[in-house]
Amino acid sequence: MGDSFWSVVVQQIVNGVSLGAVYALIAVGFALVFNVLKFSNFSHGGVLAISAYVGYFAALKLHLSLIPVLLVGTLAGGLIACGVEFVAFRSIRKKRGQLVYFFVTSVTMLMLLEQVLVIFFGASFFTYPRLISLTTLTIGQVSISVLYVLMMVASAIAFGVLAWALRFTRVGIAIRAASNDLITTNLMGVNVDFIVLATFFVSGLLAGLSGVLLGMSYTLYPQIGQLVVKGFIASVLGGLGSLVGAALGALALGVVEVLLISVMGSGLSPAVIFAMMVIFLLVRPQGFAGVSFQEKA
Amino acid sequence: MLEVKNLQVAYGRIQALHDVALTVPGGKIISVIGSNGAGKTTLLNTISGLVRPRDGQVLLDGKALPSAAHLTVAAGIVQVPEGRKVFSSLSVDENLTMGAYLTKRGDSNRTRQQVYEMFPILKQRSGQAAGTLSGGEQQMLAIGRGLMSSPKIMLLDEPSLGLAPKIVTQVFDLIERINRSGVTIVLVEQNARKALAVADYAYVLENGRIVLEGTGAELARNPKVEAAYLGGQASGA
Ligand SMILES: Nc1ncnc2c1ncn2[C@@H]1O[C@H](COP(=O)(O)OP(=O)(O)O)[C@@H](O)[C@H]1O
Ligand SMILES: [Mg+2]
Repeated sequence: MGDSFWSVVVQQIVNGVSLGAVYALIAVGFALVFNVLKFSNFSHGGVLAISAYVGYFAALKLHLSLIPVLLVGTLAGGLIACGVEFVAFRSIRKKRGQLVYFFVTSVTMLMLLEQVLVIFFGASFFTYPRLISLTTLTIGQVSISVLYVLMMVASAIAFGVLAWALRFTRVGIAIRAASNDLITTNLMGVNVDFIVLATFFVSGLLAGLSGVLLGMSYTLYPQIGQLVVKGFIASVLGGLGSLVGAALGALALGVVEVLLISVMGSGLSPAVIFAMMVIFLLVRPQGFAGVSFQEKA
Repeated sequence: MLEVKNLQVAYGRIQALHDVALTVPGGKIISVIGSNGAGKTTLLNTISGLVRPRDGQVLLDGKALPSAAHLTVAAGIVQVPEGRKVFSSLSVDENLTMGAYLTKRGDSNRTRQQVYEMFPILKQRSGQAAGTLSGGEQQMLAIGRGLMSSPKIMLLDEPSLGLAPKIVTQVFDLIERINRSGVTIVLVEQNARKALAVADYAYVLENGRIVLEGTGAELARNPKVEAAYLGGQASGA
């Protein structure tokens, strides 16, 4: 069994990393908003879902090819997230509402956006038109589908651009400053309303991209946004507060998930994953990246 | 000139400032001393536009200040907040960049040069995360970051808090130096002795009310101030 056993393991790890790369897009987008406003923004899933549908219709009705579809879906995510911030969260912020209001509103927005999809497109499943070749590349004994390569490459490019923007642009540095301390950022002459909106925009871009990639790899249905839970788990595993931690958490989650499914099937593995997450957090509450909860209270 | 008139500030039912008035002439150092909870931070936050007063006015050169914090900075008033509040995960240099958020790049490069000349230690650590600096260095950074906006008026909230005596002396020397370069200073402090020593004019804030005012020297000689804020020792030192 030796050789073939290991090639199966390596194969599953490659698959897991591909899936994890998309989870990482969700997780980092989720963490961006968490870092600035300190609440878990589940409306992120709704943004992801609508963007996935936007990408689908852009491909189907406008006959756009792969790259334009990805860009349209990504941009749609950014704009929808801005809309959500403007409509749902801004007034709570102005009233200095407690974090629980943000949280409850975010869950409500997720359900609302899902229902919008149900109203317009019914509960039925859609399949993206074929935008990329269905072939697989084979390297040694490991084969990888072109879709998985796309998932990894698109995520890598998105993270490259994000890292550049957060490090070298004025607004990017201000988003990081706001993640440290929103009030002091305001004292620097920064309009925090704008920075919060910008944070939602960037977060929404990532949601949009992950939505299109997930739509292409699974079928499209209104509840696809519930995959935001993967991003939530990953960002908790990574250590709430750290973007790199969230991305690492997502890769780990992707790999563990694929390995578990191959061992015990998709019925049992979610329960095992939640159990593992609970145990991990008992052992290491600050997550991989070591940012403590207290600091972010 | 900055004027605060008839300021009433409340957090819900707790009134933090009662009818506070003070005048800050251009180019001077004005100190406000008071113990913990007296309302010092509330006063600065109201001037900065973070807290909205229930009544009263804050006037800069006779005109009402904007009521949003980011616009106050644009008007030339910067706050160096209590507890320093450096952006701990940003590098020292990025902290300065944040201080110059509203400044054109060419101008901010010049100011950055000046800040680094004033604080060579910050230059040495420019790439280091601000959270790894010592308390004294963080205070220098917080002040340097404030200078990056080229303010007319700098509001300093307890800059000596939690620092070793030697560093405290350095910080007060620095405040005088910044003042000499043309920046008006409003300093709020629990460290009354030092704050009165550098002040052109000073106010005593107690339970949200101004109870005494005078030149720094006058207040330092005042028996009530001596008893309550200078530990009852001779104030000549
Ligand atoms: N955000 C707030 N909410 C409610 N009460 C506050 C808040 N900030 C300050 N206070 C109250 O206002 C009073 C003045 O506080 P503060 O201005 O911080 O005083 P100081 O800076 O002189 O220590 C205190 O009684 C404090 O408890
Ligand atoms: Mg205070």
